[in-house]
Amino acid sequence: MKTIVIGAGLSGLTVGARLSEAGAEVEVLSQGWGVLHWHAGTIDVLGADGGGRVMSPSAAIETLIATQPDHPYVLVGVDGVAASLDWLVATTAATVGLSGTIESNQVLISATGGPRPTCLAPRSMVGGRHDDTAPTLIVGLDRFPDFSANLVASNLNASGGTARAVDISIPGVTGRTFFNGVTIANALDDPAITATVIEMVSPYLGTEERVGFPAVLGLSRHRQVFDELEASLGRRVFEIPILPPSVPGMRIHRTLVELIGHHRVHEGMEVIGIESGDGRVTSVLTEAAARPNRTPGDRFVIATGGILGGGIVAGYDGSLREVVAGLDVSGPPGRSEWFRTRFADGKGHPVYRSGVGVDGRFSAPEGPDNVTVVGHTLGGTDAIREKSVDGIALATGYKAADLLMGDAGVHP
Amino acid sequence: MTPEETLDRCIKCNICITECPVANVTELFPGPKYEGPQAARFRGGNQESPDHSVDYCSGCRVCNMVCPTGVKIAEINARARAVMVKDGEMGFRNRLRNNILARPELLGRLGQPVAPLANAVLSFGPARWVGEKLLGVHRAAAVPTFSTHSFKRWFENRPRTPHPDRQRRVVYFAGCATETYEARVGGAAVAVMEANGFEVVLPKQNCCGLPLLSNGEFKAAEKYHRSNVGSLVEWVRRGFDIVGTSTSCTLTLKEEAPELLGLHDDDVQAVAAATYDIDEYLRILHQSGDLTAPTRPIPLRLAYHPPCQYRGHRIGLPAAEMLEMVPELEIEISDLACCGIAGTYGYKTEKYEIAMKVGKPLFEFVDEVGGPVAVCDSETCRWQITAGTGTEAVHPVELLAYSYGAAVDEPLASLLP
Ligand code: SF4
Ligand code: SF4
Repeated sequence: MKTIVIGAGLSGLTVGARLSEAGAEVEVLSQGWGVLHWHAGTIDVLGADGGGRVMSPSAAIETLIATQPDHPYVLVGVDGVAASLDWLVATTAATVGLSGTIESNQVLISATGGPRPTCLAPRSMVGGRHDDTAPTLIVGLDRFPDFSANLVASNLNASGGTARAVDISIPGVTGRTFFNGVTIANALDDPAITATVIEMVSPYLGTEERVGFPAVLGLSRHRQVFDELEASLGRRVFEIPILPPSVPGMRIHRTLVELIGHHRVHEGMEVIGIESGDGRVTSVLTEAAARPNRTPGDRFVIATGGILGGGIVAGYDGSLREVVAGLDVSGPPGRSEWFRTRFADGKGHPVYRSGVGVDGRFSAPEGPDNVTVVGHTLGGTDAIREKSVDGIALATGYKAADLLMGDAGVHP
Repeated sequence: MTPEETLDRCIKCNICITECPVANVTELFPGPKYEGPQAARFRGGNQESPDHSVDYCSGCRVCNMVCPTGVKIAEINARARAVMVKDGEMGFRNRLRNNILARPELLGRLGQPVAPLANAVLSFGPARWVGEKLLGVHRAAAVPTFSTHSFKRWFENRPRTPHPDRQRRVVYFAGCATETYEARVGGAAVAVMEANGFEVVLPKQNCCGLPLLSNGEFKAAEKYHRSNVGSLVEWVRRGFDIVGTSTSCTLTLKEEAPELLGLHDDDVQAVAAATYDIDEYLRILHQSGDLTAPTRPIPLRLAYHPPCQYRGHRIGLPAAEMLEMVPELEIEISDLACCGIAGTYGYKTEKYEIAMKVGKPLFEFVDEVGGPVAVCDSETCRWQITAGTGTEAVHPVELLAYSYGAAVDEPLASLLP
């Protein structure tokens, strides 16, 4: 049995990686890279509900399951969410080392020096707790537009912390006309450049107990870069996520793609149609040079995202369309109902809750039998607003993979 | 939609920049987002191109593949380069050099008949030094050796065994490399198609024009393309499909030439729609149950690099799927984006270092896998791999031909029983 996953965000790669691990045949098709390159590298499970900041995701999910029958977490249950987190922790242990528990959120320092609740954080970020008042040095990079050490330090100080900022130059890197987080991370993968950074930061260290950097501490050699910095600076080191392209997200992306096998993850393949017979999809057609390319399969997983990810397209006529199989989308009936009148309305805009409704097997009731829908194509909530984007993608992908494994006769 | 019209889809996410092999190794090239969708806003009309560094784009299309919104960055860059060429902004020496490098067909016609002499000159240090000084062709860049026979000659004179059961017929597009340097690849392609019951025909054809397209020499490229279309369309109208072994030639017939040159007439479209990479074609036969399985075992473990131009077809990795059918053959697939050479790019003095830096991770991969040969679908990439590792490289179809029971040439011949 061959499964074709459409979409290479967190939900699609989770399905792909779990099936691969279990030895099932799987291919992932995606239009391009996305989500994880913009991703902070932390896993938000639930950060806010109607009542404000969530401190315990598990407790808040229980309430949410009891009160919001259409919420994607209903399909998975608290235990399912917890199991998916355990899986990701184990899967990424050797590369980024995520830690945390569903019982309580950690509150980390954001790119502006504010508080940012999240459930799982990589080893490189757990030292950056926002409520930790230990004296902190924030290191920025000269002429680097994506991160301001000063801003972070002054906001930390304004909220009761003790922080200082310093900007360093890295020869051959910060002097470039164009550089971004990935350029710097690639440079730090060279041990000589890491050594230079250590040399440049050391003289600024005083009573500080921890040192924060923008999240650029190495890509392929990340673990070593981080360890070298901690050992040589003799302080706790932590990363602060910055604007995309986001290195911590790319580390997770690479981990999952490697697990599946890069040769089974095809980018540049936008799905433009399906072929079906007898109520089942038999193949997907993707955009290609000269003519559509056909990929046959036995099971198809739609992991294309919602309105923001491009999996659901909103038309000028007020229609909402699921792009792969044309599944029914539930959402506000007409354009006038899509948005509230105020741009920044505290309740959010109804259209962002739209998505494909599914049964307990992640199949759309009126849709083809062998199509599974995961991630934000599901809708039923405003995930950005409730800070549950990663959790929903991960948990639904995880649970759907269980069902697919059962069908394929393989075991995790 | 023209390539330039796709620029409005750009959401400035920077993903293309993180993956661009060239921007990752040199500061001379700021990266796809800047060169493509951003600079394109300032091109056009009577404006001069705002950024001549666009010439450092290798055309590998990695950016297109990873862009989540479908911006045709590589095409935007190629067309911007063509405007620079047209406006005389390329410099006389470079343009002369580019025009020579971009005419493999002409070079082949001059060199192949006197192969031993030409090969000796091309591997002669002082001659390469002169070439570098006069023309800007890097002296260490990978130069292939001319075959002792031209593919066309071989094809026309090969002993023919009549096969009454060959019901289907197909056109083979050989490409300049097969014609003059690697006739063995064409021989293997013919063997594989014949093993599947096809009669192979070789109609009049010329260079696909890609080297000219990627050097911004659009006028000359258009001539080549029109001439190919004029000859091939006759066969297409009679129901023939076209298969090719050079990934860049087939991509040019399918898409590059029509899109870059803005040629979309019926003939051009008919030829494009009938053109297939050979392994793509075999996979389609397999999907419909019409493929004869390759059965002769190949007890080797080899590194396979799907070139960037192959990924550019957006068809997945059919060659890998075919090789997986060969008994005992173990394939380690490279996930590296580009070998660096990008057609004629890595031959140029000012770009040689960049090309070798881009290729380095691939060279390391090939060394690590360590088989007696490497496998790659594109000719210039095979030569680059050999230059970077010392390991010779073959086309997947050569392995298939052996597995179908055909005789194969070196370097495989002495490796296999
Ligand atoms: S085609 Fe290749 S070299 Fe050119 S911008 Fe795109 S990724 Fe970079
Ligand atoms: S990947 Fe595409 S959308 Fe993103 S910056 Fe590059 S061209 Fe723009």
